[in-house]
Amino acid sequence: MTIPTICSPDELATFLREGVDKADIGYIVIDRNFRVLVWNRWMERASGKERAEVLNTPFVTIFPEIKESRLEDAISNAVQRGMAGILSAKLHRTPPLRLHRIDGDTTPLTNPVIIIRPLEGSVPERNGCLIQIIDETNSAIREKTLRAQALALRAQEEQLRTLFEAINDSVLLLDKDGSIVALNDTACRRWGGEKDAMLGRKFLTFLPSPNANIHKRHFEALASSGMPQRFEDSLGEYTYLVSMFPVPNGHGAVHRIAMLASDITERKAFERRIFHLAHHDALTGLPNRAYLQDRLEHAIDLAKRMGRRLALMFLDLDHFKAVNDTMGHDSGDALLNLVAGKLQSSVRVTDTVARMGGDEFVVLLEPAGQDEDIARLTEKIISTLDLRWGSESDAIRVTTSIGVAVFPDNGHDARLLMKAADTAMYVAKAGGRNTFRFFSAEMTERTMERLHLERDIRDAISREEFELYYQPKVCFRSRKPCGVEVLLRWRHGERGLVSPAEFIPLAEETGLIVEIGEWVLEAVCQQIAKWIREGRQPVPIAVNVSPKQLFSGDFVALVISCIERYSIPSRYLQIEITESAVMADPIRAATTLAQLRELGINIAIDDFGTGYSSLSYLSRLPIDVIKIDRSFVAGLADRRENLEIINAIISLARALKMIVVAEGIETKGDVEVLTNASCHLGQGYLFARPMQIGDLERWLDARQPDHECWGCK
Amino acid sequence: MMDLSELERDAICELVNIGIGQAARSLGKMVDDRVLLTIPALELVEYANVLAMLGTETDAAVTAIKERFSGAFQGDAILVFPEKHSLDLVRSLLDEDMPIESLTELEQESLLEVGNIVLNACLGTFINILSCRLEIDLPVLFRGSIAKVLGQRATADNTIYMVMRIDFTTQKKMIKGYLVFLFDSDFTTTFLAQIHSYIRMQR
Repeated sequence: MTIPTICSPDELATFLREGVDKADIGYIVIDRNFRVLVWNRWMERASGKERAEVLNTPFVTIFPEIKESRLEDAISNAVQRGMAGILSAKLHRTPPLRLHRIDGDTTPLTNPVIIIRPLEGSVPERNGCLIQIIDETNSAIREKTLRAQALALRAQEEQLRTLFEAINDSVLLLDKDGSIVALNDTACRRWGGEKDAMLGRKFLTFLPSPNANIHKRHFEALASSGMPQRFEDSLGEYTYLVSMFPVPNGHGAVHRIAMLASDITERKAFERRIFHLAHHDALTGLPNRAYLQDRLEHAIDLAKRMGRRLALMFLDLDHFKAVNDTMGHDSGDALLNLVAGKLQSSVRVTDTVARMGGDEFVVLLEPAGQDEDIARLTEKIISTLDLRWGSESDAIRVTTSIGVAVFPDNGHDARLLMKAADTAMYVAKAGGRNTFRFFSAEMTERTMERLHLERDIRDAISREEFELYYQPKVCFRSRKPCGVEVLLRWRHGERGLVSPAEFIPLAEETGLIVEIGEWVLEAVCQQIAKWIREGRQPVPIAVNVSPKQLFSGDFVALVISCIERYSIPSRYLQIEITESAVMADPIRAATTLAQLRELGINIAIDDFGTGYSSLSYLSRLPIDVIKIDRSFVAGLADRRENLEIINAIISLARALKMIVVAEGIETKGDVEVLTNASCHLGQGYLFARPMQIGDLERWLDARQPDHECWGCK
Repeated sequence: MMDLSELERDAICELVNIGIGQAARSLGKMVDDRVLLTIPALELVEYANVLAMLGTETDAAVTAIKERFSGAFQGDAILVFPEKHSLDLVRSLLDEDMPIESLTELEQESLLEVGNIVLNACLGTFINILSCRLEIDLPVLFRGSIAKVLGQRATADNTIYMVMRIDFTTQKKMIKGYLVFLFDSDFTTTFLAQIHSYIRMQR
């Protein structure tokens, strides 16, 4: 070693000695015979042996425990073979040397690190070695602490992991870009399958796009606001509640996003079930009183806004108690179920059928039509629920009484309406059961009357109460009859003759007109056939056809079938249809009329002049005859303006090669004016009133009909 | 590429086995456990083959204990473990079952001592049997890629490595390590010459 010249060799030797002495490690130099040459202060304190005691003493004498130990080997290797060695603090079960700690306490030094370095002497015989001893107790303590911490941390991690996996909800940890950092088994099963395949991939790619969009929106909201998100989503049957919350890094910024998806499918189903149980009757499955209350209130709100009507029916089975008492509750329950089913199939899907308890039911019509419509439905329900219950021999007749309240007429809120319907129901019971009452007596009366009339019309056909009357048409030029219009009269069993003005509109409204019309057409064809059979030349008979019948779709087929069945020439049949009916749907009317005309049937427009159709429009319709409404004819002699209209109609009709018939001819003056105006035919009391067939035949016989007249061709 | 004859290979193996037998005894004494050390294979190879023998990639992490020797021949004696195995060895010897997150200071020292025992035993045998003089420095611990551990000479064209697999078998497990002798410049030749004279002496 080159010694720098900044200090003398003596000074340097002193420094070296002092340095070695003050070193914080054990510092020993021994010669090749293991005799101690250097023994620093640290060693004195750690071994309790003064330098003077140990100098020149063999190392093995000072520390007998090193005999045949790894330390002895290492020292030998260093001294004899020049090999450095290290003895670590941990690998040795017993400390290689018996020493004490020197930092205040005197506990045995259990964790020394011993470093051995060969020292080269001037000749190999003078080789030695340096032994350094370092107290690693503090490191050992530190390691122990770290180890304990690591163990605790590992235990904690294990616990958390166990919890993480044990959770029945899907738990995912997502990176800020949405890729999966961690997920539990539940999440794997729910969203993908293979954990390894999912890790690192974007979570959204495992969702169908509608779900992905919802998740994406919330994910972005969280990322930008840092606020936790909570939302429901569903995937097929599976409904789940998603919570997303930010996972901060050490500095409070959003680092990652934890996502929890709880399966709430069962809860939802349960809620629905609870809702159903709370709102429905257990026996029939119909909405219960509470639910009806809700529906009714809602319906009233809506009806108020839309300006609609509602009807509330209270139904109570008559004699239900007898069923329960004599046949048992099971039978009673079965009956209630039957009634529930029949009620439901009697109403529209928008209507509500509810069971109030016992044998009470409620029907809410939403929206409701006119009083008559409500009454008709009520009647239908009554007849549907008119049952014989039980076995043949001891069956009980079960009927129903119904009370009806109408919104807004009988109450503006649910409570009043229910009360009104309930009251009406008791009135129906008192009125003999198996019937219905409106809350308002006047309404009941009016609708009852109509319903009875309706029923009577229905019965009139089978009871043969309808009669046909014939009113002739007369040619102005020849003054001879040349055709008749058939008119319907109803001879009611109790009321006598009923005006067509009273029953035709109702028949129109209820559709019964179609049935009546068929009967009339049939009777007319039969009459024509009879004339032919009797050798009498028929006059054409005009039949009034209601628009409902004309547009029924199979009217043409009906006419063909009648004509063929009675083998009559079609020219004897005329169809009269009102101007307003044609104008209601001109295109459909034109099609049907054209088909009839193809058959050779004459078409007449009735009540012409009242329907505001333009004359020019007429030219496009397949029409043979125009019948001028009686209102234009009445008082014709005095009213110039009507004459002008009639003149215009006649000249146009002539130009279009149509026949004009004037209705309501009552005076000779009318005849004169219309003859002058070149009107073809007339019809009215002046010529003849409507007559029954016998009178008509006699009337015709007396006047020799003009079969060659225009109107008769 | 320098080939070893069967004879040379056997001679070196024998030497090393003598040494590591001793090392096994030392280790066993320290940890109250039977430790078996065996050298099943020995090769003289170039860098690329070192990797193949070690069954590792250039940049795969390893732990190595390196001792520099100088004197009759000069170079580095290195005990290499694939990263995980080094801890396995220490923990197996220390009878501790800890996660492998980190190598603590004291564990590093323990690993150094194990390396010191094994490498000194091998080198000591060379010194004794070949009657040559070597000075052996304290072991140093390296962690990193094999290239980093082997140093700048690693990939030099004519560098020859003497590589032996060394199996540490304790009662619990067997841990594979590798002994690599990397001689400076021509010292491989010097070493082999010594081996030859040893072989001649044996006859």
